[in-house]
Amino acid sequence: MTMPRPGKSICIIVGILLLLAAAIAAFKICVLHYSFSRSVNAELWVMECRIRFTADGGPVTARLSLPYEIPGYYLVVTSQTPDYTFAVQERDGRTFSVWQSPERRGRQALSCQISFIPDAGAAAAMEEPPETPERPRWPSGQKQFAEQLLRNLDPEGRLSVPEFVKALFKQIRKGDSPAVSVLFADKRRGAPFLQVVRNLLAMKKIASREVEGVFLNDKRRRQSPALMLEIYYGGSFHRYDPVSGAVSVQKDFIPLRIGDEPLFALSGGRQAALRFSALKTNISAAGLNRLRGSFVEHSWLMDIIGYELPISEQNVFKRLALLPLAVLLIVVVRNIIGLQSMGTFMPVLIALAFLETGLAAGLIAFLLILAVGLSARALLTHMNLLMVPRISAVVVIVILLMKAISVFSYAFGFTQGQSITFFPLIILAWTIERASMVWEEDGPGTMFRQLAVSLAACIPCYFILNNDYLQYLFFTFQEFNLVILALILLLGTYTGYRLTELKRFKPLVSSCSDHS
Amino acid sequence: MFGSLLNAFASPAALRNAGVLGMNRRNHDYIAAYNRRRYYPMVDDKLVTKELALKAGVPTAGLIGAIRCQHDAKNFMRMTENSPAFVIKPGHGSGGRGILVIKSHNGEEFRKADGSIIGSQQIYSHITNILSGLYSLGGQVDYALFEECISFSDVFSDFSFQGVPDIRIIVFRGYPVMAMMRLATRRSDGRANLHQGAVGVGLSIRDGKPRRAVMLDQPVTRHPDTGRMLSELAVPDWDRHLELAARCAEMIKLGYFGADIVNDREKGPLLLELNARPGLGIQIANHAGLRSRLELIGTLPSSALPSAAEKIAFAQAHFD
Repeated sequence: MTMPRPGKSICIIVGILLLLAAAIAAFKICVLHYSFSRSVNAELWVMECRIRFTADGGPVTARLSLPYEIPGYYLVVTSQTPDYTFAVQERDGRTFSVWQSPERRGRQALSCQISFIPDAGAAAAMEEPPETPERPRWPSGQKQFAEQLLRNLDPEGRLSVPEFVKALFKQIRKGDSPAVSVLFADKRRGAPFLQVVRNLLAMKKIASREVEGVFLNDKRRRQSPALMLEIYYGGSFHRYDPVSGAVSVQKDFIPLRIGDEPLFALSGGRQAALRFSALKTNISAAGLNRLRGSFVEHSWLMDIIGYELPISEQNVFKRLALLPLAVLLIVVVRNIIGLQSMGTFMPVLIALAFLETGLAAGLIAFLLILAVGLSARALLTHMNLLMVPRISAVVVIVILLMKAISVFSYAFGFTQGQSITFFPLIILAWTIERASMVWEEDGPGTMFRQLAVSLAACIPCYFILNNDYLQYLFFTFQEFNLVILALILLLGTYTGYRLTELKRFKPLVSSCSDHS
Repeated sequence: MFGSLLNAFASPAALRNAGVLGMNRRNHDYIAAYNRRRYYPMVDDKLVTKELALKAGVPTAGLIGAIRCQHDAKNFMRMTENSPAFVIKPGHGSGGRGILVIKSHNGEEFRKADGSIIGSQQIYSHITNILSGLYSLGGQVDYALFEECISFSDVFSDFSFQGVPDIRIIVFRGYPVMAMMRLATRRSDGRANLHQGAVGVGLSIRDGKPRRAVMLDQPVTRHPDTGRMLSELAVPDWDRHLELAARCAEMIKLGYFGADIVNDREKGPLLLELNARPGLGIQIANHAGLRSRLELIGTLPSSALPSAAEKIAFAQAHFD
C-alpha cells in the first residue's frame, strides 16, 4: 500500500508524542526502576534490624553499617523510630543508617527495615585487588611459634592458597600442636580468633579480611550478626566459615561490614544488642513498581502516574489503560481493512461487557438479547411510534430481557447470568435499533454481515482488553498511550487503499472485461 | 484455493496504475481538503440547496413548502391541495431515505409511485417520523420538505424498475470529472442507490453515451428487470446536464461534490440534490479511475479562473 505522506505538523506532533513517551518510559526505567517484564511473583526481601541499648542521658548517635551492593538488587532503607531523627548517610563509599537524638535516657529500641528490591539493571561492582598485607605484629614470644606452625604446614612453600588454608584450619581443629595452643590460647572464637588466623595468613603474604553480616533467610529469626573470613586468591575474595574452616557455600549471606570498620557504632549509650530478621514476601509486579517508585523523592510524579490512587480507582484506570489499544484496532479495521461495523465503537463497548461476563457467556447473552430485541423492534415498527419513544421502549425491553436471563440462569445454576447487567444497555438498544434499520433498508444480508464484522472486531478487542501482560504494561507505562495516539494520528493521514477496496475495484484492473 | 482467493484482490500498485481513488484518499485529499465543514449545510439541508439554486438560476423541482413542527403536520392537506402529484422528503435525509412520492391524490386516498394507495393518516405519520429525525443524519430534529413531483422523461422508462433514474455527476473545482446514471431495480426496492442493488451506468463526460454498467459491483449488460440493453441508453441534452453540474459548483462553496440530476419531460435536467461525499462505485460503472482525473484537475492553476463553459470544454476534451 502507499506509504502515508503525513503533513509536516503531524510529523512534528507525532515526534513530540514519541519523544515524550520515550522520555517518561526512560525515567520510569532508569530512575524509578520500573520493569517491562511482568514476573507475576517477584521475590522481595525485607530485613529488619532491631537495636536495643541503654542511653546515658545525653545526646545519642547510633550508626549502623548497611549491606553492600548485591548484584541484581538495590536497597531501600526505612525506619520508623520515634524520638530519633533518621538518615541514610554515605561516607567513604559506604552507607550507614544514622539515628540521632539530642537527649535520651534509659532503655532504647531502634529499628530499620532494609528492602532488597530486585533490579535487573544493577550490575556487580568490580572488586579491586587488595594490597599485599603488612607483616603482622605478634605479642612477645609468639612470633617463633607462628613461624614454626607455618613451617610445619608448608615446609617447602609449595602449597597453593586454598590448600594452605585447608591445612591451617585442619591443624587448628586438631589442636594437638603446641604452636596452636599458644597462638590460640584464649582466642578460640570470634574476632580475636579471626585476627590470629589473618596474622598467620599475612605472614604468607595472603590478603584476607573480616566480614560481618547476616543470613537472608526467613527461617532464621532474630539472628545476631555472623562473622566470616574472606581470603583473597585467584583474583577474588573467597568466603570461609571461620568455625568449620570450609569455603562458605551459603549464598544468602549478606555482608554488612567488611574490614575493620565497626558494624555498629554508638555514642551516648551502652550494652547494645543487634538482632536481625529477614522476611521474604511475594509481590506482584505492579506492587513492586509501586514500591520502587515510592522510595524515589519525586513522589508527585507518582500521583500523575496513578499509583497513589486508592486501589478501587486504580482498577478503573486499569480497564481504561487498554482502551486506546482497542480503539486503535477499530481504526485499523475501518480505515486499513475497510470493514463497516454496526456503530463505530460498539465492538469496544461490547468487548468491555464481555470482560465481566466471560467471552462465551457474553456472546450467547448478546446474541440472545439482540434476537429477542429485534423481534420486539419488529413489532414496534407496525405501531408507527416516534423515534425517541421507540428506542426507549427497546431500552425497557432490553432491561426486562436482562432480568429474565439473570433469573433463568440463576435458577439453572449458571453464575455467569448475573454479570449480564454489565452490558451497556443503551448501546444494546441502539444496536438493536440500528440493526433493524439496516435490515429494513438494505436487507437482512447486510445486517448479518455488519453484525458479523462487529463481533469479529469485538473478539480481538476482548482479547486485548483481557490480556494481563498488556494491562500491566499499559498501566505501568501509561505513556505508551501517547505512542498509540501518535499511531492513530499517522493512520489518520493514511490515504492508501483499504484492503476491501483491493477486492472491490478489482474489476477496474482486470483486462479481460468483455462488457461494454 | 489460496491462489484464487488472492486472485480476487488487485495489487495496490495495479489500482494506482489504473488511477483508482480509494476511500481514504477521497476523504483526506478531496473531501477534507476541498470541502469546508461550515459549507456542508449548503448540501445537507435540502431547503438551503433549493434556495441557493433558485438564486443562482439552477433549475430544480418546484417547492411546495416545508413542515417544521409537529403542530403543523396536520396542515399538509391544505399545502398539497393544489398539487396533484408531490414528493415528501426529509430536509436532512441522505441516500433516498424517507422519500415518499405521491403520484396522485383526491385528498383522502393517496397513490404512491408503486401504485399502492395509502390514507392521510399514513402520510401524517410519515411526516411525524421525518420530524422526529428518523431519516436524518445522526437522528437530529428534521423538517419535511414538499416538492412538486417531477414528470420523468419517457426516454428512461424502460431502463428503470419504478423509482427515479438520476444522473450523478462528480464535480471537482468546477470541472465535471465523471458521470453515471443510476437505475432503480427490483433488488434496490425502486431506489437509485448502488449499494442497495441499483444499476450504475457509466456515462462518457464527452457525449453522455453509456460506457459500462454495474450492479452490486459486478458488470451487467442488461437491466435485470426490464431486460433492456443498457448500451442503448441515450441521455438527451447531455451538455445541459454538464452545465447544470458546473453551475452548482459556482453556487455552493464545495470543491468536491456529486450533483444528482433528473430529467423532467418539460423542463429538462433539474437538480435533485447535492452530495458532499459522493460514493466511489462510479469508478466501477465507468471502468475508469477517478484519481487520475482529479489529479489532472488538481494540477490546473486556480488563478486562471476559466468560465464554466471553458471548464466543460476542458473536461469533454480530456475525460471519455
